[in-house]
Amino acid sequence: MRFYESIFVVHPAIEDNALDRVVDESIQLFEKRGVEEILYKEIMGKKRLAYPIEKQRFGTYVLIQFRSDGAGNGQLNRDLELKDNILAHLIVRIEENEVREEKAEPESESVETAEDQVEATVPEDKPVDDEVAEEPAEEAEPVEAEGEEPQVVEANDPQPEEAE
Amino acid sequence: MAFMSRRKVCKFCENQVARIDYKDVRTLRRFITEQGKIIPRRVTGVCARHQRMLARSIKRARNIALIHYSLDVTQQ
Repeated sequence: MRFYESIFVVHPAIEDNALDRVVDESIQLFEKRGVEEILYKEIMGKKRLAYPIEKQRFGTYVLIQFRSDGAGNGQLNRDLELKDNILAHLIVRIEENEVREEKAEPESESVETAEDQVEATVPEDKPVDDEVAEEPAEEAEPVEAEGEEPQVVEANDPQPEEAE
Repeated sequence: MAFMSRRKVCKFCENQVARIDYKDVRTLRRFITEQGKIIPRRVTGVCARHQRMLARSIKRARNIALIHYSLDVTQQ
């Protein structure tokens, strides 16, 4: 038995009750295709799409995590592709410790899950991200021109400060 | 000194990241250019293992329109 998650984008005109209906219909599709158990369901809200899909600039993201033997995933993929009001979808295999809490089996010691939840609930910057932030912006430009730079850096490494 | 850059260490290793989530757009954004290209690890200092994970996540995120495939920066 493996764990999967599916994320799909629902047409922005579908809201409230209609949205719930589309989500329920989708879940029925999942169940029809050998999904053992739906472990987590989240409507992640309406977001701006990075590029228009079917002429829509926005879409509502829905995340579903489930357990299945995976045999029906090919069919499920096709079902989602054909379903009206779903602009895009993705089915991805995940590990058990990535399943988010809700109806999921309690696993308190999992670091992954903890991280995921912080992300889900608090939109603030994680400290982790802060540090990563500066890196590419700062270094993207100089290195672009010269390919040998990394080696030079390595060589100088033991005594990096020689400034007068 | 202008020509001496800091030693680059993989940020993901530093923070002991076991997986890179394709839904975590904030993080992924830092490893793509404005045009949407994946930045080579020689520039960002990401280790090979994490670069592979990163590339996969970026491609997944593109697929579901969380980040763009490409963007014409000369337009706009």
